[in-house]
Amino acid sequence: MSESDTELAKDLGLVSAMTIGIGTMIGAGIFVLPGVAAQEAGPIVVASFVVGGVIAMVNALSISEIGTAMPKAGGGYYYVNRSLGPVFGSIAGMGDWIGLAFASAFYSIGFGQYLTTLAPIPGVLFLNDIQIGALIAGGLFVGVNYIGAKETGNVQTIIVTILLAILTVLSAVGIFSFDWGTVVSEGGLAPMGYGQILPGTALVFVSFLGYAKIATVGEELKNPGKNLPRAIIGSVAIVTVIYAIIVGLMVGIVPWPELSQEAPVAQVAETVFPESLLGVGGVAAAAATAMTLGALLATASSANASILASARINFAMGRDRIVTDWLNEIHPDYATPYRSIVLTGGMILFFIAALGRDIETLAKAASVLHLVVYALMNVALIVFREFDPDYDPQFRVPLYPITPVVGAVLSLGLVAFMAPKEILISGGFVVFAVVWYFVYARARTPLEGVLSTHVRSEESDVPESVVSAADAVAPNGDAGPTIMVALSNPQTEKSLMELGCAMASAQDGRLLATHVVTVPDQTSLARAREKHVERSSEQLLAQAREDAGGYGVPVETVSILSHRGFAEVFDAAREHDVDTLIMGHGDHLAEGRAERTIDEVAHDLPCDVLVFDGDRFDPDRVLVPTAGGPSSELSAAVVAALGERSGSEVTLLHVADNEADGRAFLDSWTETHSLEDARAVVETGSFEDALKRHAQDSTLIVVGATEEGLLSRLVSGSLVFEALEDIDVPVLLAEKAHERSLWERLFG
Amino acid sequence: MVILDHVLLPVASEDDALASSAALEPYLDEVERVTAVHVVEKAGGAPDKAPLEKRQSDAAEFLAVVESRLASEVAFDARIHYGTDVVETLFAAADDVGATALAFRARGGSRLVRLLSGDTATKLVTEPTVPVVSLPNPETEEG
Repeated sequence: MSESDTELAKDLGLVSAMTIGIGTMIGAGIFVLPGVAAQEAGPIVVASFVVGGVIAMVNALSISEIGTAMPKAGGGYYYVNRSLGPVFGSIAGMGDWIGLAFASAFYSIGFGQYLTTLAPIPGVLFLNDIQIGALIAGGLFVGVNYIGAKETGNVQTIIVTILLAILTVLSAVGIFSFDWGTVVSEGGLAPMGYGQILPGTALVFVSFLGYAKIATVGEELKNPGKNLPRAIIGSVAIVTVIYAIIVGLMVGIVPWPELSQEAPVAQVAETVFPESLLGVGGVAAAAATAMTLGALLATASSANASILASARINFAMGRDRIVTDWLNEIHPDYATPYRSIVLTGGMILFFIAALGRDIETLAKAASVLHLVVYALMNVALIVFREFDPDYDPQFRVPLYPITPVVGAVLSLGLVAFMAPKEILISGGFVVFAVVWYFVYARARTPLEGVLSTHVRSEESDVPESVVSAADAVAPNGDAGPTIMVALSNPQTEKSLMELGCAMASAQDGRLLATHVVTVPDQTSLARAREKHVERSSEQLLAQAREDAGGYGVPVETVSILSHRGFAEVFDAAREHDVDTLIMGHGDHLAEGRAERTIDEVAHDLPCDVLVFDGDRFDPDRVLVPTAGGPSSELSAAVVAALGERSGSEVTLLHVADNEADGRAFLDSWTETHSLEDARAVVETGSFEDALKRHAQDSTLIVVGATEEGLLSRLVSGSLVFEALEDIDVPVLLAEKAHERSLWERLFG
Repeated sequence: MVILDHVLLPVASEDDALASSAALEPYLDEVERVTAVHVVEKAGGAPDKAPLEKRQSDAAEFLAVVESRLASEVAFDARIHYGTDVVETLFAAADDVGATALAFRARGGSRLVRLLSGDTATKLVTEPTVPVVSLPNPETEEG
């Protein structure tokens, strides 16, 4: 892939990113909530919006920092999971996801409210007209995302530009109708007391839920190190100012008790615009209609962005196996994550139907869940800074550690101002997320967070009780890789199992010992079973289990009767999602030669493959000739595993044209693969001679296939591995799976 | 110059990867080189319809399917291209790699699905910049 292609993949610039944030936020804050919030706090509700903006800004700084360190799909979930581990990751993921569904239901209700002012919609059964409008809207947003309507970047930018223009005109005209007397006309500035500011903030905080969405598309941003913080911080700053101005004007134009609960912006427009202008009548009504159309656009774009963001969160969770990856399947025709969209859409429609009459509950439930995620994200930031040496954000929050601490405290503090109902609903989802982790995700997710890795590592000086607590919640699933050992006879069983155990134990993986019995074509499989082939197989596998027992490595055994032999080994590896396959050269490969399909099969490796050729496995003194390349990574991993397990003495051999170049290469190679303990030897001249010389002192040679398809040619006999031909030392040949190399070619 | 000298083979999905490789297989004698391409559709400034990393890993899988079928028979290369318009991007890719023809298997689907998904097949044949070959399905081919 050329560089220009990489750039094309990341096509969101600063303006695009900012419009995602502004477009998502503005729909809720201005067009839906001012009337409702004014009932709660009176004219001082302006302060509620500003306080909300401050809380959002502190969190925006933290999100910006982590976002620049890891611009990945999924945003908050991804950061929390990497930092605090999958328990909190599950809470953050579910919280963000369900929170978005609540927010989308809220936006849809807002859409429905303005829609009913345009056209009468009948209520049906237990649903009122607004809910029906919201359901239609919600269904439409979901449908559009399912089919993946061809939206180009300009649409969002145009929508946001129109909205900003509408609001600018409204405030420019509205300022002439502003009257301080109106502000204080009904009981003064804070008729219910200044104590109502924060409950007001709790209600309107939903108006700030857009900025974090920029982080969920971090992977698509151009130059995320610069653009992510600018877009996130910039969009929060801009909308806070807009909210303060517009809401401030609103309460000075219409006395707060009279502000419309459903369509406040249209109401204000109707008030401030003259009935007729230069002889043209209906100006006020036209202005109100324009505001209504703007509101529809704004709420629609908010809902749309939220649905897109929730698919990102699903994807990130599915990749970590917190939820099933089935959810993230891409539609073959529409190229959309349709299952995720349908599920999220179902939740949105359910929330509209169940809670749509109570817009405050929807707004606050969305806020509580997001605030919990923000709080976790601030903690995640501190953990990254303290315990993760690789953490290197391009943007750093000012005043660390004050900023993230304040962010976490403010976020959780704001939750305290919510009503018990919303806290209970959201708390229910948090509890569900934890239960979900233990019931479903714990056995599946391979990831452990930075925090738990630190706590459980030997160097940390945390109390024993904390360590055991960390152990208790740590993932116990397929943490490490699966290493399959293809056994064929008792002679090679010991060697192969020893190698497999060393690899599995070094990588915290598990072993799958398989015995593939090749049955001649003329014998039926049932007949073979009768002939007690199985019993000998069981004996072999029992021996394998016993040998593995000494290493404390989890082991499973499988016996397979087949006509196909060699091909069956690869199929089994594929079926069991094996990461590394270990086999003997004499065993399956030799019998494989007769097979016509062998070349085809070996060409398409299901996983990394290690082929052992020799009588006795003795990792006492290991020689590793290396020239770089993907397969040499595999040999490095093998050597690292052997070194850790058996205390092997490792010699690395690199043959170069001149000493200096060779030394430089080998130094960087050993560093990349953490093999600094090994003896590094650089030779010049003939590779074969050097190899022969050093082979004499070795008990095992580990060779990485230097080119793709080496194994297939070795198997089919078309490649004579000359250098190793007359060396009488056991050889371990390592070849990386081909998909890997394709991957590298594609993504460099 | 032989028309099938260097074939650009668009791959849209896993099924399409299998079908397209199978459809091209009978003609491999005439083909020197195959470049399989998967286009990831970009929104050009808006967030994509699907997560980018998911599209990339899927693409690698689809292309690996084609590679495993064809790489042993002809010179093979696989690429991922990004663009707001699938067809334009494919022809740009053809130009980029110097393909002599673009060969594809029409994927069928109802009229509605084709309409909603942009009807790539029609656009491929109506706006070509290199010769376009519509491959027959080897299973339904007569005689």
